[in-house]
Amino acid sequence: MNNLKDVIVFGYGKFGKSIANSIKEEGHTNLLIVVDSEEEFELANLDGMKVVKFNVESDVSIENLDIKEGVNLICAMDNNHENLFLALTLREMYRKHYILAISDSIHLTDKFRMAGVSRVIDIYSISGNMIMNILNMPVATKFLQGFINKSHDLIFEEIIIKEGSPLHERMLDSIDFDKYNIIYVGMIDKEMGNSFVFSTVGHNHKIDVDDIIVCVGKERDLERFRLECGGV
Amino acid sequence: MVKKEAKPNFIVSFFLFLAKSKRYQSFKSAIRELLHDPKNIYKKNIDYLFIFLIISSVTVFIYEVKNPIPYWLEFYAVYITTTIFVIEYLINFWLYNDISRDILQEYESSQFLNRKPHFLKVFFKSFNKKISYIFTPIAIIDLLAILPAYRPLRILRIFVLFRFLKVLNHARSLHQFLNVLADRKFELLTLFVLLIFVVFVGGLAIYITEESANSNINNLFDAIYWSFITITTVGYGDISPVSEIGRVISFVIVILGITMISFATSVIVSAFSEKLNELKEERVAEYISNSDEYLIVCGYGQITKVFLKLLQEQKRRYIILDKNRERVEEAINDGHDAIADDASRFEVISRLYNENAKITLLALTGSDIENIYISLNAKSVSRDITVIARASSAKLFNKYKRAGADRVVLPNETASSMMVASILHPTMYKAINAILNAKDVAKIDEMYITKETKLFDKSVQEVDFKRYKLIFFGVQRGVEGSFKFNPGEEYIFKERDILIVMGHKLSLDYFKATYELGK
Repeated sequence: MNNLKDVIVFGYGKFGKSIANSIKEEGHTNLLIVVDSEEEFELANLDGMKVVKFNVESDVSIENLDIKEGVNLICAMDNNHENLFLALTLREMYRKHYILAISDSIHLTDKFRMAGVSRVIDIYSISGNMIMNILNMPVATKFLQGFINKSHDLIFEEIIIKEGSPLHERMLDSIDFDKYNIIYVGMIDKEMGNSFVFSTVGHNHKIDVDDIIVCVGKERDLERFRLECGGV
Repeated sequence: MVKKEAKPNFIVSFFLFLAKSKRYQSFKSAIRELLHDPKNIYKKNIDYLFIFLIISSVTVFIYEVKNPIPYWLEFYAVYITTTIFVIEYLINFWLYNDISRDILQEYESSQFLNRKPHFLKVFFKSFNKKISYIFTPIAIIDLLAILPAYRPLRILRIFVLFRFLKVLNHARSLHQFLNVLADRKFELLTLFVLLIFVVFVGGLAIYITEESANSNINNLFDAIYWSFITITTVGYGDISPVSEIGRVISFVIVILGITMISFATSVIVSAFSEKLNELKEERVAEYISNSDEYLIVCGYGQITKVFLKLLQEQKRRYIILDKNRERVEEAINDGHDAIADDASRFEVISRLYNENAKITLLALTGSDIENIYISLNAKSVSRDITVIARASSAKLFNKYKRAGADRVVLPNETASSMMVASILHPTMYKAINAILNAKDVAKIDEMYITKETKLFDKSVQEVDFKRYKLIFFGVQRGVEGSFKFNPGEEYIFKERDILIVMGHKLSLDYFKATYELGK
C-alpha cells in the first residue's frame, strides 16, 4: 500500500532506539541509523540496524550521507544541544525535506520550531494530553490510541476520487458505506491548506474528481472500497 | 482446692452488659465523633455554636458590670449557656475512657487464664484514669468557664476570662497555636526557669543594696517587682535604683532580659516556621478530601506541568504530592495546592482518602520504582482509587498492571509511535490530531448505557445517529471489554455498553439530552 519510505534516524539513544524499532516493526521502510558515538553504533549494529557514523559538527560528514530528496529525517539525539544544532544544520542544507524532532520540554519545542523543523513531537505534552483524555473519556481515548499503537486493526485512510469513479457527481449522503463496513469521517480540503472537514459539520457534499475522502475501517475493507469506488 | 467459678455480681454484670452492648458502644462512638472527629461534618457547626455561646455570654457578663440587664438575658448567660457547658463537661468526662471495657477485658483475661478476676482493682485503676481527666488543661478550662455562673461570689466573675479560654477548645487555629508552643515545651520551660532565677537574684540584689537608701523599696516583693519590670524592658519607672551599685545591677538585668526575650521570641518563631508548612498542608489535605471527586497527582515534573495546564479549563479539584520540597515550592508558586510528602507511604494516601469520593491517583514521578510503589500503595489504601501511572518503557507495562495501575501511560513509546505515524500514516496522524484538537466541531465522546438510559434495548437503526449528524464508531462491552466496530443496524444496545460517538458539541449535547445520557 505504502511505497517504501526512506527514513533516517539520527541518534540511537533513549529516544532514537525506540523510534527506530517502531519504524522497523512497521516495515515498508528503508531505515538508516546515523550515530555519532561508538557505543550507539555497536548497539544499533547488535539490533540489526543499518547504521553509519557521522560528526554532528561537520557539514561535510552530513553531506557524505548523501541524503536524497523525499527522505524523512528524524532528529533524536540524546543531547538536546546537539539535536537542535543537527536540526538547524539539516534545515539549512535541505530546504524541502520533512524533518521531525523529538523534544522533552516546552522551551526546546519552541526552539525546534524556530529552527524550522517540520514537526516537533513533544513527549511530555503528548503524555499530559493523553492523561487528560483518559480522565475525561477513558474508553474513547483507548479507541483513538489504538490507531497509533495498533491495539486494534482499524485505520484511517484517504481515498482520492479519480476520473471514472462511480461516486463521481453523487451526493455523499447517498453512498452506502455500511456495505463495505467502513465509516465515512470527513474530507480533506485542498483549498483550505489540507485541513480536515469532518462529516459531523453536516454539509451534504457533491463528490467531484480529485476530492479526498477519509474513512475508517479495516484495511481490507478500505482496499475493497478503493478498488470499487476510487476510479482509475 | 476446689476451683471456684467467678460469679460476676450485679455491678460487674452491668458493666459487662455495657461493654458488650453494640448499641451503647456505637452511641458512644457517634457522640465522640460528633465532638472530637475533625472529619465529622457536624463538628464544625457544633464548634460554631459553642463559640457563639461563649462570646455572647461573655459579652453579657461584661455589659452587666456597669449596666442593668433584663432578666431573660441574665437567664440566658447564666443558666442556659452554663447548663450546656456542664452537659458538655460531663459528656467529655464520660467519653474520656471506658470503664466497662476495662472490666470486660479483665473478665475475659481471667476466664482465659483461669484465675480470679480483680474487678475492684481494675475498676479503681480505670476510675482513676477517668478522674485524671479533671486535671487535663482542657478540662480545667472547661470547669473554670462554668464557675462565673455562681452569682453569690463576685470574685468568681474573674473567671469570665476562662470562659474565653474555652474558645480554644473549639477554634482549631488557636488549638494549633498551643500545640506549636507545646512542641517547644522544653526550651520555653528552661527559659522560664532561667527568667525566674534571674528575676529573683536581681530582686534580692537590689533589696540588699537599696532597701535602706531607696524609699520606694519597702519589702522583698517591691524588689522582685522592680526586677521583673526591668528585665522585661517594660520599665514603669515607679521604682528606680538610686545608688550606683543599683544602677549597675540594672545594666546586668536589662542585658540578660533582652537576651532572654529575643531568645524566647526566636524559639517561638522558629517553632512556627517549622510547623507552618505542616499546618497549611493539613488544611489543604482536609479541604481536598472533603470534595466528591478529586485527583491526587504524584510528582511535579514536565508531564504534570503540561497536564495541569490542560486541567485549568476544567473544574476538577486536585492536589500535588512530591517528596522534594523545592519542587513543591515551585508548584505552590505556580498556583497549585501541593504537599511535600511521600506518596508511597500508607498514611499519606490514607489521610487524603475519602471513601465516598471518586479518587483518581496519577503516579507521574520520574522513577519507575517510585511509580510502581505509589500505585501499589494507593491500591492498598483502597481498590476504588483509580490509578493512572507513567512508565518509562513498555517492558514495564505488566509490572504496572500487576501493581494495580488501571491505565499505564508510556511517554517514550507514545512519542515514538506518533512520530512513526506522522511519517508512515500521515492521514491517520492528521485525522487523530484533528479529532483531538478539533474542539467543538468534532468531539469524540463516550456514552454509558444503563437500564435507566433510554438507549437501553434499542437498535442502532432505531436510534439513527445520522439524523443527529453523529458518527457512531462502535460499542465496547464494559470498561475492559472488547470493542465492536460499526456493529450494524440490527445491533441492540445492552446494559454496560459504552458507545463511542463523534460529532459537533451541539449534536452530542442534543443527543445526550434526548436519550437522557449522563456521564
